[in-house]
Amino acid sequence: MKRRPLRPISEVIFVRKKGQNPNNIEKENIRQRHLRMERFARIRSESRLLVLAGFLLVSFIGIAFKMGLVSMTTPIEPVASSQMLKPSTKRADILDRNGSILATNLITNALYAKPRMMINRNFAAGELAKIFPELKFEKLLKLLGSDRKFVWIKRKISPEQMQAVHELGEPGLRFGPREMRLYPNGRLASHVLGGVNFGKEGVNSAELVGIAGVELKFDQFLQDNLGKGVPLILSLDLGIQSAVEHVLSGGMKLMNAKGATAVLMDIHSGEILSMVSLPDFDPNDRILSGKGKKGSENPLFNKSVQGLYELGSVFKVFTAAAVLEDGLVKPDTLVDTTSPIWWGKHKISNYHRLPDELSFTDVLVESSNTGTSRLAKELGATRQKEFLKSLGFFDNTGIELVEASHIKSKYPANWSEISTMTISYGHGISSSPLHVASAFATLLNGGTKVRPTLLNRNSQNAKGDRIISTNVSNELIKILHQVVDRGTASAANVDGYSVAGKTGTANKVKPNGGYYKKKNITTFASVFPVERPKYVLLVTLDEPNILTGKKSRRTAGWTAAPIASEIIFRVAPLLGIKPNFQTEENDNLLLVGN
Amino acid sequence: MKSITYILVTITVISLAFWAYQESYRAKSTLNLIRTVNKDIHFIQEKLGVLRVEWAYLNRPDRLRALADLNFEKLRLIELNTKHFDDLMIIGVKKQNLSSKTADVLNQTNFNSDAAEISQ
Repeated sequence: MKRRPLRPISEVIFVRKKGQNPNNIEKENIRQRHLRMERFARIRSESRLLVLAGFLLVSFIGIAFKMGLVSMTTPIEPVASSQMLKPSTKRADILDRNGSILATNLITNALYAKPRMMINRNFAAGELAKIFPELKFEKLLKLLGSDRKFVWIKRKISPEQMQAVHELGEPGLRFGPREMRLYPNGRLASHVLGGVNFGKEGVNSAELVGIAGVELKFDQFLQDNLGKGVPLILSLDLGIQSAVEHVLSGGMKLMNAKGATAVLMDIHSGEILSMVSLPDFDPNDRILSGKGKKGSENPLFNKSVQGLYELGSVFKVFTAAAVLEDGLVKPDTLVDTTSPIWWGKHKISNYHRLPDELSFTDVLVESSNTGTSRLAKELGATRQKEFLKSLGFFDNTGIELVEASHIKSKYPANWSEISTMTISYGHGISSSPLHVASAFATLLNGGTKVRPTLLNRNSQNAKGDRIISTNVSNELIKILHQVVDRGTASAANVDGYSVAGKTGTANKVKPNGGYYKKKNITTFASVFPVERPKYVLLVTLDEPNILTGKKSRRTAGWTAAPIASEIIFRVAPLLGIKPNFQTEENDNLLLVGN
Repeated sequence: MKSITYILVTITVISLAFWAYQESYRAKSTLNLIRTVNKDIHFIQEKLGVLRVEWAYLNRPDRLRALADLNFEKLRLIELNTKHFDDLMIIGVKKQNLSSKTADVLNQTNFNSDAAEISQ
């Protein structure tokens, strides 16, 4: 700024001439100078304020904009660690005890349509009907012709089908990724596994929900462990399950039976190594498999846990265990086996002719109904009921299958003396094969209660309450070994392994009371190896009938026992049981040394 | 003095800003990399899943049984059963001292000549 003098000489002279005070000029100039400085300072600060205000405004607008943006967009966390990884498949796998896959997931696609976006509905419907033979042209046309925004066409399609649909070039046909449950072994262990169905469904994913078997029982576990990769490990052994299923289905055909079931159980841990029920189904296609048939005819019906049958003479083992435990008899005690026994209008007789007196061991070996009935009478109804209760017949087995959760043995409301006598040899009480298998395991593992399980327990002992003494358990095994060795179950002898067991043949119950004369349920309950009992195998056949010569054979000794023998022969090496291959001349061998 | 402080502060601010800028971009590119890697892992996991399924499917017992039946003779397979086990005691004993049953088994299996043929 150009500074002006406060007392310009010309003005001073001029004022002096007028006789005025020149100091006033200076005052006036200072005043004006101050005014100018003030104006300048004001302008400068005002502009500064303006710039500052502008700056703040811009910043605030920026911040507000960012805040708006943040609040409007969905939050995305930075994926900085691999733990955040979502697994490619969601529902946990199911494995057998050796880690073989029983159930897993596979990514496939679902086909849906947006009818409004379609170009040539007629053509598309025709082509789709060609690609998917199970879909009808008319139905497809109706579906695609509707005015809906969105229709499902097929839930699971294969990559080939997907490609074929792609090649139609129809913009209204869309694909959504789908996780599907796959059972690579097909029908194997189908009743244990059960099956799944789609639950809540969206375009891009669908929830898999268990609908039966362990898939339903452990649904929460299988769904919950997202990404942890923790599989569900069952007690089943794939190889053993396969062998049992193979032998049983072959045997079932050979014996002309309608159905069959087998349970193989570790008697110390309660682990089920194999559970088969025939006819079975393909869990990959569960919904179709179960159509049209009711009750036990339905392949979805698990005979080993859901079927309640009168299982006949295998129950003699429970009567025998009770009287041995109570000290009423010893193995060599003589028992009256005269036949028949009349109780009111009821007649109890032996299946075949027997002497009038047999040792207690032979009552079981020859499977005498009258002998067992008399023993049960001595035992009494209360003790018999209590003993069967302690073996778990009147509760559910506790197996991890939803289907079995309400299954308990059925028995007469009035447990009279005649009931006591018939129940002693397995008539008048119906129970599931698994109930009998667990009771056998309990009696023959040394006498402690064992609960069957489908979960892998690594063969650890699961000792429960003591039901019978170890001595009685050992006696029982000896007696049951003789049943196989020289009794009704001689067909169950296995080359190289010693087996103990008991046959049971019962007439089938008519749906509205009474019994069928020529329809049987035959059972063979066995335990092996006799030297160190480890496994219980129970085989039950529904209406078996074979012809030997001209004679029709329907008893367990002819039907269930040989199948059990073959199963043990096949399975025992897989179980790692050492065969006791005793060559007869072994004793005569000379030990030679150098 | 004052101006030196100003200059120093300004330089500090600028260099910090530069560092932050660089860090931000490094972080972003790392996140991008992680995303790609995760995508790859996801893809490979999916592939692995399919392979596992395929493996399980190809090794299903039904198929293995069928294959074993088909190639039973070609591969000179023998059934695993109790006949292949015996007491250790009899090993080293002359053949004529063996029970007829055991000798039978030994003759049947004839593993020496089989092994020789297979190794050829």
